[in-house]
Amino acid sequence: MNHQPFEQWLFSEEPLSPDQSRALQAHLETCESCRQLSAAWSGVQTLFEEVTPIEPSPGFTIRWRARQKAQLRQERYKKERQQSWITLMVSIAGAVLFLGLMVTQIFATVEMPTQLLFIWIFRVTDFVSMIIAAGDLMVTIMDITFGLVAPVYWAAVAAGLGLLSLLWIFSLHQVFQHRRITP
Amino acid sequence: MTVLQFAGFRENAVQINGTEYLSNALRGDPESFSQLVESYQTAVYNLCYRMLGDPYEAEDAAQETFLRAYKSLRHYDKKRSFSTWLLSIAAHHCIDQLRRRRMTMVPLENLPYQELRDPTPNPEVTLSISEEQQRVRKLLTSLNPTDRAAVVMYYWYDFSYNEIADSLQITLSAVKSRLHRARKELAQLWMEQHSQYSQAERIRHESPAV
Repeated sequence: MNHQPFEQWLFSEEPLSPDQSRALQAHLETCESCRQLSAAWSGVQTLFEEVTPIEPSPGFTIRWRARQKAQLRQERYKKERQQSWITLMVSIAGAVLFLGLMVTQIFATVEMPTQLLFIWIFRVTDFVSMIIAAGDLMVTIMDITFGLVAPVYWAAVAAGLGLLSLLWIFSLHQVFQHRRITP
Repeated sequence: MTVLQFAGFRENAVQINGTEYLSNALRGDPESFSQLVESYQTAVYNLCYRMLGDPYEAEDAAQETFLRAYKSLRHYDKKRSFSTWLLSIAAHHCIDQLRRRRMTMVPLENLPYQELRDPTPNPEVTLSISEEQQRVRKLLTSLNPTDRAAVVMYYWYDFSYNEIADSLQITLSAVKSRLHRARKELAQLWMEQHSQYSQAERIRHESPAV
């Protein structure tokens, strides 16, 4: 038996014309399977209409607020981490750029890198020579001075300087000592 | 509660809350949005439960729906009904969840079937509420996620075809076709369930009294 268009009409929500309704009714009177299908669909509709809505367990809004706060915290933490990484990357990029500029500047001012090395070696040797000359001068001054002043006076000066140093150390100790504050 | 009454619930919810709380929430008042959660929680939870069939998953999905709605509130089009927009978010999330499900689902037929005690010899059996919910869940589980969403929106929330098409991002003809196919599948499954139920009832009545 051909069940179309009756099956189509059974499950259509569009209102049927009077002729279509009559044809469907006539078909249902003769067709057992379509009659069962129609009854089944009525049963489903009735069940859908009568079933009560399911409600969430009490405290749904409170739980939602807690979940929202947790999510906001997580997002804030993620954002802070991202910002830290960006700051770090920018700093590193800035440092690399600065270093690169410095290197290019240095290389631009000298003809060859070895020339710069020799300049620095000469400067260091000059400095060392200056220190040695200053040392020689101090020795000469001390020789002349020790000849003019008696050793006992030198000893007194040294002892006085020593006592002053001890006093200074003691006073520093007093200043930086941890004090217990009593209520 | 009938479908019509539940549909009325949706209208009442919009009337009560659609003006004051929603306006304040759109202006950035978090407390007003919490009031919207309070007002719409049953509607959203019910949709999620019908879609997912599990109360814990439904709670999780409903909570997630409100979070997403809160985050995208600035994108809400005021010309559209807030409840439609909110329930669309819920439906989309549930469809995604169903598609992501990897664990093996135990067929509902394998779950123990709980019969009601009928102390009177009355052939009319009164179904308990839990029995009704089980039958509804069994029926809806047989549908694919998009068809299920269309059925739930149409029969529980009184969505029009256009609203369903807009929510599920499918064409109007696709909505009509899906609903038509779903109705037939539900009717066929109902017949199978009914014959199983009648057989169980017949066996129970034919068994000797203790």
